[in-house]
Amino acid sequence: MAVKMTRRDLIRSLSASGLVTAGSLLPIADLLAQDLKPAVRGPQPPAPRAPLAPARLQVNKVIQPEREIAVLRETDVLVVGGGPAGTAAALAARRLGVDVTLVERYGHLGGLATGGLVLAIFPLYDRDDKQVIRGIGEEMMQRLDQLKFGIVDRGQAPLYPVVDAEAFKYVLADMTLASGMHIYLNCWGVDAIIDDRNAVKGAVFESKSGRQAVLAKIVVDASGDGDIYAAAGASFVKVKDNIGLVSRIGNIHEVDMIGDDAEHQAGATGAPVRKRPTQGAPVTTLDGKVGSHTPVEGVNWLNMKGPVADGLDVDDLTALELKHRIALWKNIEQVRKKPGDESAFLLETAPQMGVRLTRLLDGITSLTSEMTEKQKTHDDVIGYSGTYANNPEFQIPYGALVPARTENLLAAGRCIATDFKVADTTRLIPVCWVTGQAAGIAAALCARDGSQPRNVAIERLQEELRKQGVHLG
Amino acid sequence: MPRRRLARLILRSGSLLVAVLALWPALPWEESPRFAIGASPLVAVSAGIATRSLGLAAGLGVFFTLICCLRRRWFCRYVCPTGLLLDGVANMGPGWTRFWAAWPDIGRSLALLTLAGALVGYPLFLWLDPLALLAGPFAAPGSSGFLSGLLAGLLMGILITLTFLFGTAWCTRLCPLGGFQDLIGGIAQNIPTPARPHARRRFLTAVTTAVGGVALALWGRRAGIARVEAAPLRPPGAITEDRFTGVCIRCGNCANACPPRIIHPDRGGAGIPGLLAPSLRFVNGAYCQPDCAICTQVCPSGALQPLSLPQKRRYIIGEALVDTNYCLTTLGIKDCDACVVTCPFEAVQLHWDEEMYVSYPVVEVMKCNGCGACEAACPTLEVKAISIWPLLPGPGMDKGLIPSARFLPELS
Repeated sequence: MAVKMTRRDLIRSLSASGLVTAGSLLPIADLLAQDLKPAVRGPQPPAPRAPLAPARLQVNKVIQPEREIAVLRETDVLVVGGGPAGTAAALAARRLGVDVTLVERYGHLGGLATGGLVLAIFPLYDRDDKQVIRGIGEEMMQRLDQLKFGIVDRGQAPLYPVVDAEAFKYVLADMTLASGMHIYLNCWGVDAIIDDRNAVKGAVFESKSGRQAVLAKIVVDASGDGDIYAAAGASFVKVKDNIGLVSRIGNIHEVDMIGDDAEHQAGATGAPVRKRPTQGAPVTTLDGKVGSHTPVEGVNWLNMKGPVADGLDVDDLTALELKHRIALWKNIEQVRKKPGDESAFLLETAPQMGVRLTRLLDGITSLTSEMTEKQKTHDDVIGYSGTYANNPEFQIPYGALVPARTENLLAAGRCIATDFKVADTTRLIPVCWVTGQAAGIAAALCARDGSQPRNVAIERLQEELRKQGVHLG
Repeated sequence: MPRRRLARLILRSGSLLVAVLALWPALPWEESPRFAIGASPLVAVSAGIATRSLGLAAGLGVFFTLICCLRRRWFCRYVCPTGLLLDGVANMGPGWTRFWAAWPDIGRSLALLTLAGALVGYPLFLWLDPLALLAGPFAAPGSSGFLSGLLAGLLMGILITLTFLFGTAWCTRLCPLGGFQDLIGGIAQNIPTPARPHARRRFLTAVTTAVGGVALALWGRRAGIARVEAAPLRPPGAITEDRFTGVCIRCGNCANACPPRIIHPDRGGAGIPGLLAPSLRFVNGAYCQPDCAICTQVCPSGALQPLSLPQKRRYIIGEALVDTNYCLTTLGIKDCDACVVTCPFEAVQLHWDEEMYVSYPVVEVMKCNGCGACEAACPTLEVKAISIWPLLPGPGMDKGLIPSARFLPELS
């Protein structure tokens, strides 16, 4: 059966991402809610196959014949996307005792926080350096605290913590499996399932097992790109933003030029001379970028902003991914020319490109920059974003997670209902934890009561959020 | 004449009270600090000559000047709040007066030097005006740093200490405002020349002093020109840098009035002539607010020319310059766009340089008034990747003459 392959994929990818080695002290078999079926090595006996229905070329058009899609699972809450928002949503929903299914496109959990090597956990604090983002995100960081090389610069506002991607993958695998949710990795959400009234009833996935469906009472779209709400016909705004590719450099001995180094802060070398730059200054001394420190000694992470491109266009994405990798290799060659860094090497380029923003939902509330700059308070507050640049911390309303019209659906993560300016903050990892956790709890409440996301009793939602440690002001 | 003394005491006490309330500022009238110092005849006349303009605030000062022409040292006797304060201090001290008793009238020379300098746009010792000195400490409590506060009250502190020890040396020998009154009082009372000894010597001394004043003033202006490249950033409305350090009387009104507290006394960045003159520093996230022009409206000397709010919005304080060698985004240290999101005028964008394969901030010059929001927001520690610098003389302009007012094009 298809399920068997998926489970094998799961285990394989988990071991690849370091679970087996890092967690060798733990009795792994006890942790797994989903277990491997016994198998024999070599040729397998014939198994029943689904009827074939390949696409057909008819008069220069490719036609997909109508066909039935096998239902992989029926669940209470389906979370599409296993990044910061999706994992927080799935964990939060599971804590209310409902059946949760989490589906992830890559072979690991954590999304851009791990696979995208966006290792900076920012923004967490308000202007008084008080941590305003807690809840499940804080629990994840507390788990990382206990690991060697897991996380640095914790609780040192305004410095922000930096995590190790592999440690974070391990923590997420451990937390999700222990929660008893169902997880499908290497599964790409390709379509929404809707009923006659255009209400969402689940989603369709493509994987090595072919095309399969998961039926759900409530779907949380944590895909980042709003793939499911777009497929379900919800209205949204398409946006373009910079797309880069983060990398990690090993054997690097150079300290950060700026940034967080204590040595630099102490001004050990004396205050540098403030020199007048020329207007439109050319980039002169940029021979080899080394990025900034990670929890692992000798390993730096190097961010890249990248050009503005369409994160929903496979041509753009392919061109950029190839160009970025070539540029990163040339950069490491430059880095190695610096004395002391001759043995630096390109440890890895991120498995996932840094797509920042693609779709922004039309929600029942759209969070605008006027609201955030004036720190508007919302009756349906579900959490805070931390302060960023001169922008203050601000409340996030539940209405920004709920599509204006489409039923049974919630959005979480970077694709929620905000304007482009606010999205520059709400797309960041800690804020994705906040919107994810709220979407998960709301979805669980709806699934339990058979109600609609737009009709959720806000007091109950906020009560559950507080119980789960979320800061609501 | 006890009745006249009583009247004097009441008048001077009243003016001290009014001055304190105006400088605090505790009056609901926000331009009051400007009028409090503009009441000084020396400030009104010298600044008026130096800037070739007489503002509304100088009206009282000019009026007092006329009275002083008719009545000897009338301002000292009936108005000067600093004088009253110093009298009180002198009474408490040991009163070591003997060593300065034979001093010549230095204040008169200072006044003459200042007036001569004012003719060429650089009133040399206007910063020694007693009302300007009195105003200094009022900027101290609100200043952002301990050192800034100390500097703001420094001159008045020295003056009080000296008066405590040595009695009224300031008022009788040193004060340029007193000397100024002696000068104009002498003119108006038309004392017959033969009645005064050494008339020719006095005349020659005065001419020499005046010529020296012009020379010193021209040196001061040249020093300003020479330092244009390294000049500190001045508050909005500042006159050209070569005259600014002369016309500014270091009263601290601008620093005291500034809501985000970004005006700090300069510690020598502009050389000796620029000591303690106001300069802008964007620290702790503070920058020049787009909806504020108060510093330009409280300046009594015209070193900061008054700007209306719409004028101030378009006034170019300085230019935002980027040093990519420190930009966290360029260096790949952080995914930072603090300058972009903070700019109130949407003048900063991140530019992707395909050649270098990096991003860096680019400032749209026609939108940027140099408010410093970007510099204040830039998270680098010691050297900011984006910072505000004074405008340099453009092509075709006189060397060193920073245009005192360059404005952004009218916003549609």
